[in-house]
Amino acid sequence: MPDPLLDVRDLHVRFGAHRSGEVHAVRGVDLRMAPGEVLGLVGGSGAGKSALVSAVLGLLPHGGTMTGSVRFEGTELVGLGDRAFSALRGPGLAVVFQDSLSVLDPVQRVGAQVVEVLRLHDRALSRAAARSRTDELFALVGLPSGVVQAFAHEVSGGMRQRVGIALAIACSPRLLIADEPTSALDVTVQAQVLDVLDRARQASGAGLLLVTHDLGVVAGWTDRVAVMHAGRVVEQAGVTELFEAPREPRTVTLLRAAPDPRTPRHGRRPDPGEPVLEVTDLRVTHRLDAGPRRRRGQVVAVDGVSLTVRRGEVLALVGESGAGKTSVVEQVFALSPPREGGVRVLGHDLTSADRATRRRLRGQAQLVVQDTTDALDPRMSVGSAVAEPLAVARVPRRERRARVVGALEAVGLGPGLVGAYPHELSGGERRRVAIARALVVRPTLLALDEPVAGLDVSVAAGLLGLLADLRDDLGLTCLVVTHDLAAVRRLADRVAVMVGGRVVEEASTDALFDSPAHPYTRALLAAVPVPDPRAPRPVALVTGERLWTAARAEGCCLADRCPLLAERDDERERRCREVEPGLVSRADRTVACHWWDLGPSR
Amino acid sequence: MTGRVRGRTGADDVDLRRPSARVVRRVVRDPQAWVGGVVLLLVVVWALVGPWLRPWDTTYADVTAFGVPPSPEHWFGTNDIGQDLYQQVLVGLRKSLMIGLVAGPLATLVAAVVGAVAGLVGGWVDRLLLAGVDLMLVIPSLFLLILLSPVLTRGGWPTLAVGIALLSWMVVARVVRAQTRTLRERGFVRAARFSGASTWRVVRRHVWPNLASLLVIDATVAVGAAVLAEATLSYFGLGVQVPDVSLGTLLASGSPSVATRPWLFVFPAAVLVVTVTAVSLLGSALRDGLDPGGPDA
Repeated sequence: MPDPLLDVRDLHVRFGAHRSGEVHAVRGVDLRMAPGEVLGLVGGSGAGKSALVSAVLGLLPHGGTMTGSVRFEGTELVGLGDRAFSALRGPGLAVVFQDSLSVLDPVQRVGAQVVEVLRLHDRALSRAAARSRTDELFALVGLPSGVVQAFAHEVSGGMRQRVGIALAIACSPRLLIADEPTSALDVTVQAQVLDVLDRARQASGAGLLLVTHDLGVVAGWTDRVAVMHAGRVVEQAGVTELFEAPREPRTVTLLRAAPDPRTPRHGRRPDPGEPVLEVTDLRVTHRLDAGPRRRRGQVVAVDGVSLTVRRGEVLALVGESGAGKTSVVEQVFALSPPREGGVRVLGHDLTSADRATRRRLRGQAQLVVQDTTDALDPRMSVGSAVAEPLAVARVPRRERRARVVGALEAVGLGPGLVGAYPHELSGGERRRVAIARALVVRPTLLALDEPVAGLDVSVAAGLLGLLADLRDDLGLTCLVVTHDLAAVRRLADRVAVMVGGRVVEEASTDALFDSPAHPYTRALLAAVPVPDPRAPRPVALVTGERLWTAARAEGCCLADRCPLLAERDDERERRCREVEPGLVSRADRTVACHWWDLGPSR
Repeated sequence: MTGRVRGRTGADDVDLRRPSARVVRRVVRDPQAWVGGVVLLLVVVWALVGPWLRPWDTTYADVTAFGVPPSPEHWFGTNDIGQDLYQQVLVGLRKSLMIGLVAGPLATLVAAVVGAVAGLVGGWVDRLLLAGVDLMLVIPSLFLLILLSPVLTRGGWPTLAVGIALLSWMVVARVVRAQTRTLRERGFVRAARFSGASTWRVVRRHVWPNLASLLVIDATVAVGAAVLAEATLSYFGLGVQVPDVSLGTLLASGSPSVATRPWLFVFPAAVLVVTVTAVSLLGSALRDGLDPGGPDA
């Protein structure tokens, strides 16, 4: 082995000499990285990954101390002064954070910030030279040249990560540290950003320390893997070796919990009954206001969506962010009359339903809103949070307690939690409480918006198991909104794929996964990381991201981004751009694509 | 996150405790709270039991002592018609405190209702309520009080308290509205709406508890402001009317003779300053304690 790039020996990181005692976040880690190597660092939340990374970067928060040895190219970093460390960051070490929004200055153009970094580390560099170097960097990470002049809030999440990468590689670092660089991104964007990261790494010859909780990402993009648990590195191995012959029980647990979209469903599902939810040609627009009276225009979030969910069936609504999935469920489950299109819930047309009918439907159709860690009121105990829908439904007070305890039991939580407050719960428990809140009124139709997003793999696996049990035991009819395709495979009977406010493909889960018909569906599936290093690396067939479009687009909503773009002749190209493809049904599949319409593609 | 967070020790352990417990702890350790609280308590107790400490009656006029300076007989001196100023100040203090304690929280309540409803409902309701708030802000409240003075004085001090409250809620209502608009996008408010909770229920169960810090502070600050507002009005002869007495009327009647018989002005003024300062200190301590970014005692 050549001289190590990074050599960590017996590193301990402790936080806080608090009254409440100190936290020993990293407990004796040994880690070596060769120059140019890609090392994946995986582990659940609280495993100490972030503390380790902060220590290596010399960015421990106030109250954090490290002991042991961290050598970077032979230089000891433990006890290194602030000034010396600063000189090392940039040309030596650089970092890409989970969301570069917090790294970028909101009042400076992003290009100017890269120029600033370049000139900070090389005083001899002229402004003009720094600018042209910035243009080169932006081209390298695949950003259109106009982005140089943009502000951070004007660009999408994927573009921000690209700016973050450009910023990190600006000074050609020898070690690039990426801390969950794609956790907040859609899979298609994730594949693009990781490819950019890989390209940037190769261009600068840097080593890459990729911190992630996603084993699919590890399998696709790293050479070697270190598994962390409870502050220690429990196993270090080559990526193929680790996936095929894990030695440590912790690694085995982690691998087993990793969601794999290739696994088909087990067991037969009952045949669906009558339609419970019928959405026809629904359109949802959001107004963009620039002030109390000034209207800037409107965004078409949902552009003519039709869906049917039958009794006992689970329909998954998938697609990238901004595709309009959440807008569909929120419009439906507000139970208010839609402005355009029709919604029938349990046979009642919402357009003509009176107040009493709506109240009755409220007890039948419940939505678990997207959890952004605050789906529960921080000032309300678990008991009162779960009881709230009962109070709304005017269930007598004396019955409530039993119902609340029952609902908590249904989601696998003990009655002891009734008096607890949300901050005392773990992420998975909070999610379960939110589900209990919906179940407590014994609904027929349940919608879940991103039920497992942002959870640790093992916690997410537990929650998916719970949802599958609930589906089977209670015979729930479910509408699940998610961009997690592994979750879809496990839960759903049918899948509807949304792009740009429209449904482009709808089919049974197995049919959709085994033979995707629409080019977007194929691209989506190709971009999903698979926890298997031998599987082909995820690719982004669809590039770019959907941004909010103010006006209704002519033609196919995917016209500019379609993976088939290169293969289209002029005539077909014109058709894709000008004529909106209608939904065509064949067998048990519905697809909106001119190509599928013209005959099966090869 | 794995396992139970409860009982776990961590760097963020302090913030994991119940917010109210943390607030109480921080407020209790704040010297401002102690000074403000103890002084305010003494003032209130004094206002209640003070009259029995001295032999004089409020209405009794000592014909042997017209306008005498403070003496062992008359601790705060007497006024031109021989009334004992000590007793007068106590009566005035009681009135001022009552007006303050009614008007302050009432103003906050109005602000909390209007601001929360406007922020939560949005749309034309929001615009209408905001327009009302702005209209009230544009009209100088003193001017309005002068206009309404005949009505307000006829009903005695409770109407005056209500009047003061109705003219001092607007700024806070705007703050509450702004905060509510951010709360409206939070998951738990959306979850409540999707489970069918009415606007009023969401306001009571979700908006107010989450704005408790703001509201408690404002109610405290408003007490001090209302006491001052009453004093100002009465000073100009628009508030409490003769024969009723408040700190404001005492200041008004004492001010012409501040050079010749200073005690007629100094004692009511001192009591007013001490009371308002104590309330403000308490409010300031509450604000520090409830501010998550504030110093952790």
